[in-house]
Amino acid sequence: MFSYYLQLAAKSLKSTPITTLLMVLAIACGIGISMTALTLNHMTGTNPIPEKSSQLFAVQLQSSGKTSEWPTSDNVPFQIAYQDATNLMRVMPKYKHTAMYKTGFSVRTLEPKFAPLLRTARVTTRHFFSMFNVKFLYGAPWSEKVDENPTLQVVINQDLNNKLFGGGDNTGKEIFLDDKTYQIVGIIEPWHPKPKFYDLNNGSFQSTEQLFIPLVLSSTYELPSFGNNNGWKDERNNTFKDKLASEVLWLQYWAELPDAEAKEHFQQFLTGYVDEQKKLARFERDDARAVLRNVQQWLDYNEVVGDDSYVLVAVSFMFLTVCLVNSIGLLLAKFLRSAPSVGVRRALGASKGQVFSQHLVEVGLLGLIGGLLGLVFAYLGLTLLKNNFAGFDFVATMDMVMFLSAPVIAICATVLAGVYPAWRVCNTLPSIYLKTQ
Amino acid sequence: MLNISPIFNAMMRNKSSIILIVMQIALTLAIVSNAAFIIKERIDTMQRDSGLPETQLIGFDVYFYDDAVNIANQLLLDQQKLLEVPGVIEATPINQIPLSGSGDSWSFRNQLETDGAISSGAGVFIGNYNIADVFGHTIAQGRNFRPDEFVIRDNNGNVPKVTIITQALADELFPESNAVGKFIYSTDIPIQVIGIIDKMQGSWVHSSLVEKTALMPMINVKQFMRFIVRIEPKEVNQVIASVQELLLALENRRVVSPAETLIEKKERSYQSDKLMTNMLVVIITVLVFITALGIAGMTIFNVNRRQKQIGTRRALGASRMEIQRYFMTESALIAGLGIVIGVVLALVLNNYLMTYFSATSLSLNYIVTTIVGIVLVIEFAVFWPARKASMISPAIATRSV
Repeated sequence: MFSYYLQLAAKSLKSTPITTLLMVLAIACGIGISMTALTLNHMTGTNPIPEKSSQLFAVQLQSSGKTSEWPTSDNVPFQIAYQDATNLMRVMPKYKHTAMYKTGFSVRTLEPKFAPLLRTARVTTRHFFSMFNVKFLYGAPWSEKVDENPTLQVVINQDLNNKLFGGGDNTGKEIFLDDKTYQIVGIIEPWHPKPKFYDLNNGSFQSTEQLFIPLVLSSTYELPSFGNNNGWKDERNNTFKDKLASEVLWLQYWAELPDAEAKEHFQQFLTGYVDEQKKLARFERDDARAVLRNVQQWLDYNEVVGDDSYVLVAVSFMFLTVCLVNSIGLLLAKFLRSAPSVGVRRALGASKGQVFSQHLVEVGLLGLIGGLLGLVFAYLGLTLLKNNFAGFDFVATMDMVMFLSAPVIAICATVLAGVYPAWRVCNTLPSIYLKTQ
Repeated sequence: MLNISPIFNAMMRNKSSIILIVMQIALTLAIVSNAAFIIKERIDTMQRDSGLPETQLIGFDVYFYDDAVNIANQLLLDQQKLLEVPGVIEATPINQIPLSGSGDSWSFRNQLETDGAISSGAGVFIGNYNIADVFGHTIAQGRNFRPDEFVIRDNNGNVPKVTIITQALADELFPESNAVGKFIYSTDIPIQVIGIIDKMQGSWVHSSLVEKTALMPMINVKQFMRFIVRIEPKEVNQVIASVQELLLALENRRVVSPAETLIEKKERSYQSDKLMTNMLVVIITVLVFITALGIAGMTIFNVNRRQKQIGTRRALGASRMEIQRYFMTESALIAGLGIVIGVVLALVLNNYLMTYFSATSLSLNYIVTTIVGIVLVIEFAVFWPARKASMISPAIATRSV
């Protein structure tokens, strides 16, 4: 029966080519534009580490001054001070946790003719790699001992390995970072979490660092921050040592807490730490506190998906509605014009339900064609965006979810839109049309 | 004379298709007026005067990696050599590039004591004493920096003694008096305002601080430095192509990034606004097109369905003009109804955007302009089908009724 309806539908669509073309184009435009907007929104908000999202927590401390203001919903600063970072790493319980920040180096091989590259680097501890599921191509993270005793070791990523050496296992080799030689202990597989959830300070879609070095080197070699440094206190920081002892907020802090119990335990420790700092009169606010947010909460809190994205989705779906209303009008006109032949079919014994479902199949076919064409439009739209907006090459890419939802949304929407015209036509009284023939 | 009452009666016999067109017009009005408003706002933001000769200014980064290099001396030598390049008008080492999205801001007070002080953040551009000239500023009030006011800050705690600020920052810190000659304080450091420039945008174009800018004659020595160079328009590309090589030839223990004009940096900073406007322009254009086609399609359908009635009217003495006017009036009535509902929808949508997305209040101009546009498009879309209707021969009335 279905295939017969499908045949009838194809015949009917072919019989009114201009109306059909108008409807297909309207649906395709609606789907194309709303899918483009939805893809941008969906990809911007994608959780980059779903498998561990609920176990990884960003640690925030309200350590700032009584009148300090921060651009966050709860007025707690995004980052923490160096002294808090080192204190926490020392006193916190057994779970994996690490402070980190972004710096940068000129990078050279030992080959004297090699033109130095300027690259950003992440200063962190060895836990970083296992916490964020970073896989090693060669070698391994530096050892626990290196996290305590300054040792010039470095982990690099595959891109940099290719650029420096043309690929291969180069662990054990040395490279220049600025004017010091570091030994490569590991080379990681390509790893580009988008959004760059672990440090959203300089834009959500920044590329990940290509070098990773032990945090303990920071104070010894005075490695400057290439990220945000937020000072709130009136203090003169002439030297790097001054900065380390200051209240400037410039480090990120993450903890891996496998279950609710661990989170509770860690939170208790943090509360204890805050109370201690309050007693020392370092934390001066009444609402001084520690806040833990898991990855999804952290992305929402940082408003990774901007207002523009939601406005575009809202407007584009309103646009889709207009396209559908437009198609309902055209469908109604088309179906009512075919009322005489429906009347004949009804008189020959077709039931209301049969007429109704036959017309819905026609609408569904229309939706499918419109949806597929819409998918092509969306693809063209996203390609145009990618080519014209350098910063959007990742978000302007459809993943499987988006790819499959376009035709589904198109068919559902058009079938929904087709219910009324189909219902009108199946209520045709056969007698009216039989009289005049 | 327009015979609204019979037209209205005829419309009531065919309610569903009328309702659909009314809905379509109403939604189109709501979307187009709001989208046009957002587009205009964004374009205005992007076209703000930055107070800078963007096409003539280029910026680039310099990163020193060898402790053996005396960075301050090298930067001053670089500056001197850059000034010798044909086409280069002014140049200075600097801490940040305007409009680039990356840089430093300081907090200033208008008095030493924190209690009762007015404080404001500001983008701070520190470079050689010619920094105001590099940006092409004329000093509106007060005077420019003198060579002897230039300081080099290493780990020595040197601080600038004088500053030139924008009118916007002056108005913020000294709302009631002239800022020239006054002191502003960064922590407890007093810095005298010696001059005021009309306008200069800082590094973050979407920040509320964008026009609050201060210039200072200082080099704050760091590994990571930048240069800004003003060039004769004709020589810009040539200088961009040669500057990297020139600086590396002077000292190769550093990395010099490719140079870029401020226009390129600015475009990147406004990328998301441009994306938003482009998307909305596409939506509006396609929407108006689809609505016009939809209405034309419906009118054609109505004309076809009423062929016999039209023929009868013609046979009874109606002129072609009258038939055409009938359909034009009918569509005007539908448009009127759609517009009334559309205005309400537009305001509701705007209110929603204001509540949830920090949008601003929709100006009525946009609704009125959109209405005029929609009426024109509708009448245009209906004109040809109505004309076709007027061509129907009265003889049709005599056939097979």
